Amino acid sequence: MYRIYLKQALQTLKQNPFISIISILGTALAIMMIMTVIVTGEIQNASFAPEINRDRTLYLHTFTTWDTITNIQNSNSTGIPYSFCKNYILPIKTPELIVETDLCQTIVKPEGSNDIHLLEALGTDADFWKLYSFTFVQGKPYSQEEFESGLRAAVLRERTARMLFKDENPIGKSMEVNFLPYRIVGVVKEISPLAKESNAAFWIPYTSLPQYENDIFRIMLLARDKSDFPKIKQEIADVERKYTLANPPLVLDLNGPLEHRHELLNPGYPHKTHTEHAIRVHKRKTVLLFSLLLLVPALNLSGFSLSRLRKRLDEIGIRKAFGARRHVILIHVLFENLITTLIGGVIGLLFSYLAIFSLRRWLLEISADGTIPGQVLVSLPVFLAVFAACLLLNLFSAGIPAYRVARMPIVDSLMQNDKK
Amino acid sequence: MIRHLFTIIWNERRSNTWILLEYIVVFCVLWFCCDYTFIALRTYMREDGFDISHTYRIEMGIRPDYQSDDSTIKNQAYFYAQTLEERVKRYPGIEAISFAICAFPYFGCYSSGEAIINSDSSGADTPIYRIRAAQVSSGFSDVFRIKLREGNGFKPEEESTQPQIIITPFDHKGKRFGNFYESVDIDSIKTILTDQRRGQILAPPSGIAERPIKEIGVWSPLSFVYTPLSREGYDLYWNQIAIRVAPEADHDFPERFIKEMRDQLNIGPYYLVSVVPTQKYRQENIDDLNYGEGQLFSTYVIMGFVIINVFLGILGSFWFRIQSRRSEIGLRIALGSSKRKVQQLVVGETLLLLVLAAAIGTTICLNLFTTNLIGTLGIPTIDRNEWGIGKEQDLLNLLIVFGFLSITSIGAVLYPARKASEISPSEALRSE
Amino acid sequence: MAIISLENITKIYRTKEVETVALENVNLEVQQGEFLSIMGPSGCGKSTLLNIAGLLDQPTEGRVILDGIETVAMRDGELARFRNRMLGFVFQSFHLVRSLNVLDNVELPLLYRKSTASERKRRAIEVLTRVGLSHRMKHFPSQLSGGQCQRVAIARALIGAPQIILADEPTGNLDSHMSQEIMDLLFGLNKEGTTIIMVTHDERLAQRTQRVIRFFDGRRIQ
Repeated sequence: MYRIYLKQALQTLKQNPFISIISILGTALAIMMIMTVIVTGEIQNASFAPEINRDRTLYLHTFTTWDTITNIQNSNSTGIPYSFCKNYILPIKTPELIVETDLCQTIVKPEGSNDIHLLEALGTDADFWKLYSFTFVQGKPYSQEEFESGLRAAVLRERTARMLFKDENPIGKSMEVNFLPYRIVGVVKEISPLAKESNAAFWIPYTSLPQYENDIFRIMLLARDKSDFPKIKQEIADVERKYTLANPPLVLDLNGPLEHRHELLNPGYPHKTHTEHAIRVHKRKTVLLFSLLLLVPALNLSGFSLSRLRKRLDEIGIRKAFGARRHVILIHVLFENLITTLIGGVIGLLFSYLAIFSLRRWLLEISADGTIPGQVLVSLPVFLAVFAACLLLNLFSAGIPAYRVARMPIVDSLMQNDKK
Repeated sequence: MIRHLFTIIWNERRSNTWILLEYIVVFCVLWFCCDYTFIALRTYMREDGFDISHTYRIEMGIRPDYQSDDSTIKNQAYFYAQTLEERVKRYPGIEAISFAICAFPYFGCYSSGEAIINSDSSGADTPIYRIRAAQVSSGFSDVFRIKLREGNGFKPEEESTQPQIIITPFDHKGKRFGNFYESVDIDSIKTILTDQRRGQILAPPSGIAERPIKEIGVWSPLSFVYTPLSREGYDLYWNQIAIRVAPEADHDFPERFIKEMRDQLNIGPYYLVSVVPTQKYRQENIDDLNYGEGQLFSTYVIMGFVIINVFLGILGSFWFRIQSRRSEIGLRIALGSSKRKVQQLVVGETLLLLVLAAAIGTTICLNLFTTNLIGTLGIPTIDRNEWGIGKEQDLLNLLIVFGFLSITSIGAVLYPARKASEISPSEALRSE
Repeated sequence: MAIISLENITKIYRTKEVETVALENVNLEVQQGEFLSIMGPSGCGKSTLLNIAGLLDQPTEGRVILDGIETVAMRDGELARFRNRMLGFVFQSFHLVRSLNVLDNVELPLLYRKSTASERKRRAIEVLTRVGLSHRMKHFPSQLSGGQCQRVAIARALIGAPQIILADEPTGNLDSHMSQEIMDLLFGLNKEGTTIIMVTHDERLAQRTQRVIRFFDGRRIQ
């Protein structure tokens, strides 16, 4: 039965090339837009090396205090002060790991060269290498002891190593970072710029930075399991309360800890309420966007479906005359329409990949030479999403015409007359 | 003819409903996109009152072997700054340089303070205005070309005989000083009393800026009060340092400057870290908010999507129509209609539908604006009264959207219309 | 026993302003194996009667009894099943599906019954051979002449082995030579026991059938 529908659908497409192309293009355009939005979201949210634990990680990076007497914001920084980390955050029990990072601009002069490079370095603790999964092509990361002793060791990215040391083996060599000598202990494989939290030109223990006790940090909390999230959030809320009690009249708002997908919506808002509002608004915007992306093409394709069906009313009439029931007609029409939609869907998906690659500066905020991990693009969730989008689009565009045509009295169909 | 078109449209109302619906939805979407774009361009993207083109921020670092509270450095601070200023100014193309504490647009540091107007004490009843306190060196208005109503900004400290204070309005009309909650007419200010690092200053304003200063991408909700940077306030690591470069010299400026000046700018414990165009800070800040270039691009994409859809939709629908009305068209031609009249009929039908949709769409859009629905969907809105944007924006929206859609529709319907007019009556009338 | 029994059939078309009486109090009984012609000027209701007899339309008043079974109260699903089993249709404008080839067109009725693909194909080839078109199985309707199209339509009407065939002006769009072929087919079927009700305005054709009924203005006059 469905084989015949398929044959007929393809034959119909061939017999009306102009309209078929327009329908397929319209569908492809809609699917391309929808999939661009979905795939971009996937890329930003999915876990991939080295950030393989995004779904288990909570983030903290805002520290705002509010003076309850004058009702004025007392301080606001996009990072947690070191002393607060040490005294309040590190003692928390539930997370598997607590990782602190400190991004800094550095001036680097490699050993034996007069070239000066301006590079971004990430000061980390030793647990950083447990949270993130880097592939070491040479050497190894600095250990907990080395971190605690403030050892001046550095781990380079492949590209940085090549830039600083050309073809020589950098392990054991040294370089001046902000006029202090550091020894290279490891080199890691290149990573995608989409790994924004863990990215840097090179990594050093933050204890090696002068006056690191005055710096502010970003904190990552790795939960053993997602079900631990509420417990961790409660612990952080307790910490906020403790600080508030110890420092009247100030009230502390850490605006977190946030899950990865919420973190993306937070550019540094000082307060929880801002983030919650942003999340709500984002949800509504997403619904609106998808509705628009489905509705407008659905209206287009509805018009086509209706017109196409009207041309084939006599065929529908004959089928019914020869015994086809209403739901059979309905399924037939929807199925045939689905063929067109799926063809458009596949084309749309390919176009969306193209769009994401060429517009990645705008969509993903990475530079033109940044790579996108392939396993996120071509994955089961993506394919399921395309299929679902096609189904929805199909339903919206062909549903009502199909229903009406299936219910039409046979004589009217045969006489091609539905102007009642 | 119009009545005839209406009759045809009414007769075909089943399939016309879809097209009408699509037109209405698309009309509303385009209306909002258009509105958003114009508001962004008219307000948030506009910068008058200061000019950040060809300006850069110089960032200095401090060597780790020096402690930042080393008293030697403190005593030398002003001297170091002067040395830097001298050397930078000698570089070809530098037009002006300025140092500041929390003052420059987009640099990301703003410090709050209080001002008392037309009174010399802070008695219990004296109104206190929260403002942005900023300390700047004399090159400030040259670097950012702040337009003052009169005067040229700060004279160097040695030359001035009395305390200098420059103030800015906070409203975009340039008339009020203070902030949203409490403000005064800026022209009524005779004296300002404000706290500075070296004690209070009480003086009449020596300069009033014409327009408010932008904070991070939004118009500052507070007025700025600029006072001259004192000698103790200089610190090459903590200060904001900005320069203006002549346009002819602004080619690959950062790379050249860093390469050629790095050694010269090793002054005392300080060293050159980076030279970044102010534009870059603006970019980063604005994109975070709702009216950035990224957002505008998204709007354009949506508009494009919607218009292409309309184009395809009209093209397809009318193609079908022509097919199914072959005999009717053949009849018309047989009865004396010319080819041109047939084309006009088809195009006229589309446009009439569009006009109907525009009428309905305009009503919907005008009404939606009065509700808060837009705000809850995250589509940014502004207080149009405050900005002086009146009904003319609505008219502009209508004209532009209608224009876009007309052109798209006519373009889409041309091909089917031409096909229709070429139907030979005998063939068309012969088919079943 | 009558295979079709129409009792007091009235059909009125109502619009907001106008009421059209297409059939008024029509009674008709058709015996099994009969070849019946219905004649009358255009607009007299003969096609309407055929549609009602074929369960394609519902009468405003009256009863339709097929093979002893009352059909007026039947629901859509039951009617469909009934049509599929008992009836075959041939129309003046053929009504072949343009996007299916001849074989698929003929198989159509069997799609709505339980049957396997091979069985459908076998039956289709059988009836196509019967109507002399087995060499055109893979062609599309647009590639056939008028007479060939109508033969395909007859094959389609036959494939389900219906007891009754309802033909509405089957030769209306054909020239005399092709009309002859079609009528020969129909007569052949009738000889094998299929009941045929044919609407026609061709007097000579009607005279060749067993019984002729005439209509005028919705009423039977003979």
